[in-house]
Amino acid sequence: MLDRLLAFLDKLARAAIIGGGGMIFAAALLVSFDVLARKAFGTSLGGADELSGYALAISTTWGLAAVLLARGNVRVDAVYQHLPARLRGALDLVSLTALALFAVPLARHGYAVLETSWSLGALSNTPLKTPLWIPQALWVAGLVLFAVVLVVLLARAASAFVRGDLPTVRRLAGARSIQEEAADEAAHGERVAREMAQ
Amino acid sequence: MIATTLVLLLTLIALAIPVAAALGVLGLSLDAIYSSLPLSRAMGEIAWSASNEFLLVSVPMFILLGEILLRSGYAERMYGAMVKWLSWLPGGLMHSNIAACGVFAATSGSSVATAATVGTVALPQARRFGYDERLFLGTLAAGGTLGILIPPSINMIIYAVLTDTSVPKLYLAGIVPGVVLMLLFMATILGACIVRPAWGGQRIHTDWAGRIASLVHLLPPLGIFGVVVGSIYAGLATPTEAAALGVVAALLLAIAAGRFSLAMLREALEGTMRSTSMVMLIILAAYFLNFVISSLGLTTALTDAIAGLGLSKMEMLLAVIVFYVVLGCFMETLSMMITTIPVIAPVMIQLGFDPVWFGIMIVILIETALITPPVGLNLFVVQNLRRHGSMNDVIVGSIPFVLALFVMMALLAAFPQLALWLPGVFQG
Repeated sequence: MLDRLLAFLDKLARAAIIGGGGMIFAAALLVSFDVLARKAFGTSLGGADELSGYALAISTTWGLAAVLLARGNVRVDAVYQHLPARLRGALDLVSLTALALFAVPLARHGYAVLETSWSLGALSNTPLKTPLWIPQALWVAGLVLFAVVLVVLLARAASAFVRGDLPTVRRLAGARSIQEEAADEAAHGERVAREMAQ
Repeated sequence: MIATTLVLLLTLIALAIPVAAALGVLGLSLDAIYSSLPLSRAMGEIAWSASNEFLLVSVPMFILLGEILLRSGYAERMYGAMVKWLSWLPGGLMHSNIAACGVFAATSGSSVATAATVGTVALPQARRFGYDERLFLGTLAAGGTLGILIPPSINMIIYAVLTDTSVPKLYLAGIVPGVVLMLLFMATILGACIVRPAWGGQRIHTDWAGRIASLVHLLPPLGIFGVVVGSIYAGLATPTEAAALGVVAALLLAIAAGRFSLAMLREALEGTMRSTSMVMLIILAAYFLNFVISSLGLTTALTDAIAGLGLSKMEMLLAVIVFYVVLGCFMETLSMMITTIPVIAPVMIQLGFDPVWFGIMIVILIETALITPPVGLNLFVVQNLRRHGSMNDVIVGSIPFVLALFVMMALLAAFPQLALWLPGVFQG
């Protein structure tokens, strides 16, 4: 049951992170166009900086769930890696709990910001006069997805831990060792080199 | 209160709690324990305003630029050109490694990407030409660190955001130390290979015609550097706009080389966002924590406590260097910067250090952290590319370059103009 939910959330998180990447890409094109237009015609569309700022805010929160599921949050494992598996599993649960203790209030207070903008009809203090609730709603959506994934992941990891299934805890929530981290970077470089050789 | 805060933070981090969560939870706990007002209510507003900050938009742009550039296939040909020009020196290809890293650094804002890219191209040559493998590995791990000193640089952007320093000034300030450090690395190789000629491998034969012809392969990196760094000083673009232009330029380069595809773009975007979201969460948490500790008067208390120690400027600098070298052995570098800079930089600036100069010093300390065990990401990247032998080879091979980095710090402390001269020239 939890596994199916987690698989669904994983797909959602992947779609969200790619959507966020698309926004950053669009922002890069928009900002470039803005600079070139300013140079070539002496006028600019205006607002490229504002919109790309929203793109960063939204894409950041839309990527958080995928980072979490890929165990991509930075953890200092100098002590952790020398501990027995059971203790490591416990620390993995503590880590998820700590993340949740931060992420849930963040989502709640983020929502409060959205609510205020909505009820006041707040507009951005720029020529675009963007109704702030629009970017903020998308931004909060990412925070909520992150908090939901965290809670489900915590429940799944905790149930595995209680049953003594430490490998599953590790797979879901273990700290990625620096070896794993670097292996990814290196594999990345090699894959690119192979592509180039073709 | 200072002691409680430090103990809490160190405990959370030592327990391998994700850095972002450690900072966030610490902020919330301090608020609950010490504050009469509920400071955490400001969390949403702080997070929102920090996360749409225009300067920070350049962070994902630089990561994306690197991801695309990596796939555009120029690094291999550029390395070939470096081999033709530099392999006659005692130490041969190892000089090409450093120089290729320096050139790649001028288009990339990341040290890990620099080591991974140049390492991938260079490593197959080490055994083919009979080099001392350890020193060869060291040149790649150390050369890669140039990625963040020679502009553009993601770490400088983060420093600029955290300390309100000018990015264009930091970029200019990084150029001369970047070149000096390259020369120091090359001098290190030269010294080692004069003492032990066997380490230097076989000579590779090239001629002048080949050298001249190879220069054309330097055009792509030169072009990207011109777009990303040149456009700022030509008054065309802000640092973030320059980064966006760099993304477009890299994209054109990839299309021209026939390497562009939608699958490639999607992969690049996913990789970009994974790094960006991770770093941004730490930044949001750090902003919140800083708000809490400054509202509680902790920042002032800490500054006063440090001032109360009565250390001289140079003693303080030495203490900061020791602090970062030690911390850098254990902590991932971006999280280390985001966690410590908001507290340490104001103290140093108050003592009379130039914020731009201190930024360069921090970048060099971060470079050192990248090649000091046990947690030196560049060491692991190079070891993984190599796929055999022991990690110790890379560590031992990097030691001479760690010493070179210390020499660089001493030079920078003795001659602050190394960093400050170029920004001064442009200011007029």
